[in-house]
Amino acid sequence: MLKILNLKAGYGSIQVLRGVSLEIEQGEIVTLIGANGAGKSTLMKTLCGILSPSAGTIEYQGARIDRKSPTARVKQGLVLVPEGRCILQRMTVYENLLMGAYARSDQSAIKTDLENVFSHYPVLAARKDLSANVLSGGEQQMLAIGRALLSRPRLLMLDEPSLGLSPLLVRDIFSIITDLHQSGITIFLVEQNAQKALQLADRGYVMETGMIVMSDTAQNLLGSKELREAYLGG
Amino acid sequence: MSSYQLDLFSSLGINILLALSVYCPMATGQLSIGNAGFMAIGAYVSAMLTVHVHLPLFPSLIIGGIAAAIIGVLFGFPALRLKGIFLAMATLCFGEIVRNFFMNFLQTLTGGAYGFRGIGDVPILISWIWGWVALSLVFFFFLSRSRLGLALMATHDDQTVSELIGINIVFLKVAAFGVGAFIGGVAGGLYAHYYLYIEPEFFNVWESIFIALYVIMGGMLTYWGPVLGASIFTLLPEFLRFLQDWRGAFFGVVIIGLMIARPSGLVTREILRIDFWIPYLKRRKP
Repeated sequence: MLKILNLKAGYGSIQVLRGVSLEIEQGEIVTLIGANGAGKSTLMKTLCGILSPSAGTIEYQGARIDRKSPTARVKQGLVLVPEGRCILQRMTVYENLLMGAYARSDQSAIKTDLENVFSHYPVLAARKDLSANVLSGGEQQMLAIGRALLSRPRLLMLDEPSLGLSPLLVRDIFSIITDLHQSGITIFLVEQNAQKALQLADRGYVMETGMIVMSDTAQNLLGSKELREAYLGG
Repeated sequence: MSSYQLDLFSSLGINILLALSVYCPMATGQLSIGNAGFMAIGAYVSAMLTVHVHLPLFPSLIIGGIAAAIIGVLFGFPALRLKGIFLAMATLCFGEIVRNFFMNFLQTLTGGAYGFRGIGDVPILISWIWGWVALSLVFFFFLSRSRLGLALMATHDDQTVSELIGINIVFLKVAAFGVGAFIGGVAGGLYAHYYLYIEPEFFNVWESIFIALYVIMGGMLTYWGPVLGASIFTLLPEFLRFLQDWRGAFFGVVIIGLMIARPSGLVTREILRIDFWIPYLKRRKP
């Protein structure tokens, strides 16, 4: 579904991604783990089109998209839930969700999707007309995911959804991700919480200083001695 | 109505239009302190058309507005690369370029620094002015209730998120400059035909800064902000005439006081929402 080949990108003269290659098949949950500064978020930005790559290709559903605008990618169902609860703070919960469907034009389907999100996440329904900045951290993350759902994602990319959440909320967010996967959405999950992410995923990639250094099934990665020492706390 | 009241309400209408012309780019997070430039383009183009080509007022206003809008869009593209204070500087320079252009070029048509005389009288112009104000308010009313209005708000609040959800922010920001310039150009045309005399000095930096202040004071997040801001700036000094020599100083104090009390402007988005008022209505939040 998504195929990245030798992707290079960075900011100005600083190169962050130094040739990343990875592949995601339809229906998979794939996770990308790595320490701070490995380039995970830079990869996400390049995939959704905010950052343009300096070399390499991104292929999505059989066609190259690396020169396409973010809008075009959202329309094709390649949707990112950005890091750090990137919601529109000063707009209401309802407006935030509605904005998720901005690139779509099927009004009646948008309405059903809205109702679906509200019935799945009743917290959001209860806070519908409140400003998004009054929501708690977990609710904001839920809202960010809800907004992404309104873009009708086929491949949903989540950038550290557990960042700054209490363990209980992390569990909730991960169960939401499992539900989404079961509803047929392919998931690309970027996490620092390697243990949790690998328990959920089919396959995993490990990134270090802008390159993929390991890739295997999630099972094998969980059992790998190197990885345990580096990311899973021995 | 006495001629004093007539003048006051005409300039109020023109100032509201000018404030809305700054509100447009500001709604997408672009501060413009050069909108007197768009006003000048509209004023000179429409006046040249009525005086030299003998076109009726309405098409002249529209062409003046379109001329300003074209320049606005052309300016909007390089403006995309600038943010905050740098964009403000660039717009300020733009306003000065326009003023200097009309000072030094086309002098045979416009009189240059001596001023443009001989603009023909148009009866009941005040209803024209308020007609345009009403038209603009209807436009902004429907805009604020549309998807495009939400997209403008999102672009103002967070450009990265807006791009992520598929908003074409380049189009929105350039279009906002264009629409704002159009309204500013029409306001300039009305101004020229109300006062029947214009000169480049009318459209200097001060005028631009005042227009921007209407919006900053009134609130830049809803279209009611510029309307209220322009009204206060136009009417309050008149009500303060009894203070005589202290009038200017007192008005200054009022502005500073308002900025302290309501730093994001008088009318904010929250104030128009019901949950803002619930605590004041002495009811408990749900």
